[in-house]
Amino acid sequence: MFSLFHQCVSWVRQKAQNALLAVLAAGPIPKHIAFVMDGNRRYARMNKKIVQQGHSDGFLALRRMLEVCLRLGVQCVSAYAFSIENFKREPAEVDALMNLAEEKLLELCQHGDLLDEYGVRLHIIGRKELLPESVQAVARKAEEMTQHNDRAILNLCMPYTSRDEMTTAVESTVRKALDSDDYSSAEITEKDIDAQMMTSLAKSPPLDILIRTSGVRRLSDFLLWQCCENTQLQFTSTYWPDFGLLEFVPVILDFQRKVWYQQVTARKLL
Amino acid sequence: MSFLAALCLHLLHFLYSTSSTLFSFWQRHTRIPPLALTAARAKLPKHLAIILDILPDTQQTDILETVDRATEWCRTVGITQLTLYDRRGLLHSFNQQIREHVVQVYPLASDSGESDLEYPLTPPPSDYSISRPMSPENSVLADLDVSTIHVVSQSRPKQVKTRRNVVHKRRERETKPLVNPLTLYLVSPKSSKPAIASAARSFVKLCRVSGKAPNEFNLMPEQLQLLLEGEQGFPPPDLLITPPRASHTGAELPLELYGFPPWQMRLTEISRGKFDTCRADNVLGNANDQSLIDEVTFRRALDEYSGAEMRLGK
Repeated sequence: MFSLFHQCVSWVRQKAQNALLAVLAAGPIPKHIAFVMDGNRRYARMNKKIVQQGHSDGFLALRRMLEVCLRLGVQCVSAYAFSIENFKREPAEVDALMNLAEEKLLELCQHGDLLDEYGVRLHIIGRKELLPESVQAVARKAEEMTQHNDRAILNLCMPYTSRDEMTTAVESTVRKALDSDDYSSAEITEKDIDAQMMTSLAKSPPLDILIRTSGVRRLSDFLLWQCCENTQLQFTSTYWPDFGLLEFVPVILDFQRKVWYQQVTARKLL
Repeated sequence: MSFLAALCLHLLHFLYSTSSTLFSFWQRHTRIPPLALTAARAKLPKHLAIILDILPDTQQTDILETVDRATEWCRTVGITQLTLYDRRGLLHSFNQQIREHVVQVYPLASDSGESDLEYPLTPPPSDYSISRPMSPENSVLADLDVSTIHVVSQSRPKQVKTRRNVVHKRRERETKPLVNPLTLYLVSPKSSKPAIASAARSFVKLCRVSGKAPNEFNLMPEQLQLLLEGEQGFPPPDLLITPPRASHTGAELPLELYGFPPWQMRLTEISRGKFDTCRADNVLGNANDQSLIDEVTFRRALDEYSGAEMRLGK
């Protein structure tokens, strides 16, 4: 009896969610959303769970939000999974995070799972060579498994920092210029550097929204280049594992309001 | 079906706007006022950046007054570096006038004879500048478009009449000793991504001169940091205050950075002026005041920063 009631509630909830997403999709939808998944450890402490459980719940939240974004028609989702700076954490926690990545990456890419269902291509963005060999192998395999998907993109940033990405992009641009006789140094512009950004190489559209959870109001070296112009920054006090549709809807409404305002402004200028 | 969905969406937006307005109204009347300017705070930023939404028709006197006020508040609370940025680059185009104004306010020789001003330490923005050693054997030139003004006055600033409320300001100044030195950075959109492109051009020139092969060129974040945050650039701010903006319907628009230099934003705490003090034409101020920043926003941002926790990846 209880199981039947639970199934009914779940069915109604699913239908309501689908209806809400269909309503939101009637307005402008962002092409690229990025998440700084902050607050797993504080969530674990608050709920008297071990830190590793907080990270596992954080992965479930990523899955949940990824599905919401894909249903909404968002073309690209970027997630800050692990910073280069995070290697400073306790070895036990770093190991647990690496194990989680190893276990969940393949699961996410398997036939019939989320990325396969929605035709999402996975890119691991960052200094992959800093990852343990076993995680590197899994990352390579996961990328290969989704390389023919072309309906959406998931950028999993690990281990990543934006300054490292910008430095690498400048280095590549300079090397490219030195390599080509026609490529005069005077012609290098921000567009050339932008083209060498890891997210650009992964064919990601410009970043529309960056969401950071857990009340922290910093970018913490994430997508600094991508978010400094015309990107909606959204800081919410909810811890990442608790982040869901309820917190996400106002973000999309704010985005739509901004797009409509830009359209009105553009019409006035014409 | 699509018509029905669009109708529902507009209804949803209406409900959202109404609830936001009510929430904002409730907040305005229940919010604890920020601490006084001189109140002791647990943590104070060393370097504050402010994004000003300066409109093309903004009067020069308003801009000078804004610089004057922000400088004064920073010196009063003990902030030693202040960066001012606007997305249209207007602030930077008034570079010369701002310099002259600062010289007037903080003269080389004050009445008490204790003042001193290092002016100017950097060439005008149009000049190609920078010569920073990247390694013992080479140096890099890049156009970072940052103007630096050092204010090291040890006494109260001289009164310069820029606006109507000079008498009020004088009274304020006479009660507050201003002894802290301050470095003022005027930053424009050219100091943002174009500055990094300029750095790349400089590296190419340098490599060509030294005959380096493409694969021999390796760049570390520390090298780029040295260039962009060095003498001709500006250091990363601890706190950034961004202006609230209103849409055509009067609703609040989402937070943005308006092209603020990305390199320096790594660990910057972002604070936003409250929407209820936002002027209709999108600037950080209040309805009765034509200046571009108000003291309440400044104090509130300091209070927020004071309570922020820094973990640096740990």
